[in-house]
Amino acid sequence: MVKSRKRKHVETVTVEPNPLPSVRHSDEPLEKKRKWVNKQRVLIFASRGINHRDRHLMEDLKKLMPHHKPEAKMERSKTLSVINEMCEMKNCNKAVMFEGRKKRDLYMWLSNIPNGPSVKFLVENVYTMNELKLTGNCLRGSRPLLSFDPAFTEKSHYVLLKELLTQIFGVPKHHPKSQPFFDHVYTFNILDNRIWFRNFQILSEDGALAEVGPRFVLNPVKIFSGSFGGVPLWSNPSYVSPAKYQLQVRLAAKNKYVNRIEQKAHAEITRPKDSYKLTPLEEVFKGDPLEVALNLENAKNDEAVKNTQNKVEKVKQKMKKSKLKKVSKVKK
Amino acid sequence: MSSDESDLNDSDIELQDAFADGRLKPGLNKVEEAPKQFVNNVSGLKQKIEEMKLNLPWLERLDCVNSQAPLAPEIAAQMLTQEQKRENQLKNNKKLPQYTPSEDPVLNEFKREMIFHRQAQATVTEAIPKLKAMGILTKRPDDYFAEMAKTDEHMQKIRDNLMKKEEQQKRSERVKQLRQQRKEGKMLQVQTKLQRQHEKKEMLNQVKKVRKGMSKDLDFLDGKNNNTSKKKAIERRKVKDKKFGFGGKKKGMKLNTRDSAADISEFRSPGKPSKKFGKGNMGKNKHGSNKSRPGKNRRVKIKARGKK
Repeated sequence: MVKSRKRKHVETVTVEPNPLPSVRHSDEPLEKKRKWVNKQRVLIFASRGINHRDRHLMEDLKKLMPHHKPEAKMERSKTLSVINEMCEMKNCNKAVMFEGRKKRDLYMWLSNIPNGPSVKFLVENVYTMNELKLTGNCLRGSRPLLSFDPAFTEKSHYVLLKELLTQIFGVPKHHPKSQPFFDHVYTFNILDNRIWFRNFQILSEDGALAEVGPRFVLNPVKIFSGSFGGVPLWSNPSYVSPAKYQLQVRLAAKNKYVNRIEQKAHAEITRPKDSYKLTPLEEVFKGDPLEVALNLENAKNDEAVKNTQNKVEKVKQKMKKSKLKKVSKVKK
Repeated sequence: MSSDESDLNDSDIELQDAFADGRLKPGLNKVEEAPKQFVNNVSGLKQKIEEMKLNLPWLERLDCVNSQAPLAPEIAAQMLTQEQKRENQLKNNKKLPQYTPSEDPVLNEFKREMIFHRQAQATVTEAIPKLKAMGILTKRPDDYFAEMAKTDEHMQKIRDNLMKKEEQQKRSERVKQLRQQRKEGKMLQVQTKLQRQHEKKEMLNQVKKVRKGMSKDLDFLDGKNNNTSKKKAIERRKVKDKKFGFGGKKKGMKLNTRDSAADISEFRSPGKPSKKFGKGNMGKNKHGSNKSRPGKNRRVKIKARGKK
């Protein structure tokens, strides 16, 4: 069934209107039918020091791109310009290079090999194809439709990125390892100054989709005129390197501590001495009424504190005496 | 070395001058960095684009630039339900960090993914007819088997995971339903109880009215009998009332009545005390022993004899 379909394609192509020449020499070589025109070959590899998740992402890309060529991990000590020679040796005209830092941050280089341009991205929010929530599936090596956000036509650096992305991620027609069917779409969206990549399976041709994965977000850092080097043509003003971001977070945490301590100190200083302003009249009937009354007076005129205290003592003595007298009277 | 020294000297002299002018204040001074310059060489970019562009037909490239497809009604509904669900979640669990809908990361993620989805949809609806118009077949036949991006094993795993999730969903739904039912049942119970109380109160009020002579119609008694389910119970009650009596004091009703006083069935003539169940049998001789207690006279005589 399959083969017959393929044959059909061949036939449609071979039908030629112009008539054959009447005489043909036997030693004349057959003219080759060239169908595979767009010969893009992409070298996909990583430098040493990427973590497992990023490695899986790289493997996923390799699975989806039949026009890739693998390469062993590159030593970090080598300069990036070596990659140009590596690509030449492997007969590649595009390169995707993953560069891991601190086993945490992933950078991705996309480059057009002999003479540029090249782009450095920071890769964020990586989900590989192995995630269980991504339920779609597609043929290995079928040609994807590339869907771009309209924002890709607005600014010149986005136009350049679009061109580079289409050349790298688009599978060439009639590539020997590709399949002649259309069962998935890549979307490139610009949101928040980043490029969001998604891969959807086409379930039905009226627009039912299921996500296949992988997912990642490309935060462009710099565009260079050459391949892995050269003059920078564009740099991202909103880019903050992960190290700097971490530093900011840490500083914020530090300030949080300092702020808290300061607040505590301030609260200690400005704490009111009385919890509530009590009206002295509320306690008029508590204890010795006379004393209370005198205390009230004391509060009014602070100057005569000592005098009043003496008075209180005198009055108390009198009271005691009178009480004693009363008691003695009762006894009598 | 010498150049370094001269540099140092130069900077020192500069600093001294600045201090003399009063531009430099004593204390810690910080070098101010110039703001970073960001390159944006538009002409260079354009030139590069021209350089690298491949003059190939669209069929080789397959790139599409399009805006998002219109929101399908079912997806809009899904979005709405998601929003409501999220709102409920946040309302019911105050321990969760509370977000306003515009800042909610979950909702935002959902919306963002929707944008990508619609973008892809627009591309599909645009590109596939274009390919068809070129006479290119896009779908693969059903019996075409080829290596897929994900293995069958992995797809099985995904399927299992989905099934598990679905089951969990179902279970939680069922539990929710049961809880709701229980709540409703309780409500119903309370309601019926209250209604019965109300009915009884009304009935008693009406009975009171009749007894006081304020009204004479006894329709309310019939009205209550309308429902057949209660009819049986009422009949049974009537029978029981007839048998056992209804109302009033029951304690001691049968004690010391005229009938009980007139009842002499238990009376025995005192002249013939039965040997077996005689009155005199006490204590040890309970079970009808032959040794009966002698009479008073005799007992006194016996006593007197013993003293002497």
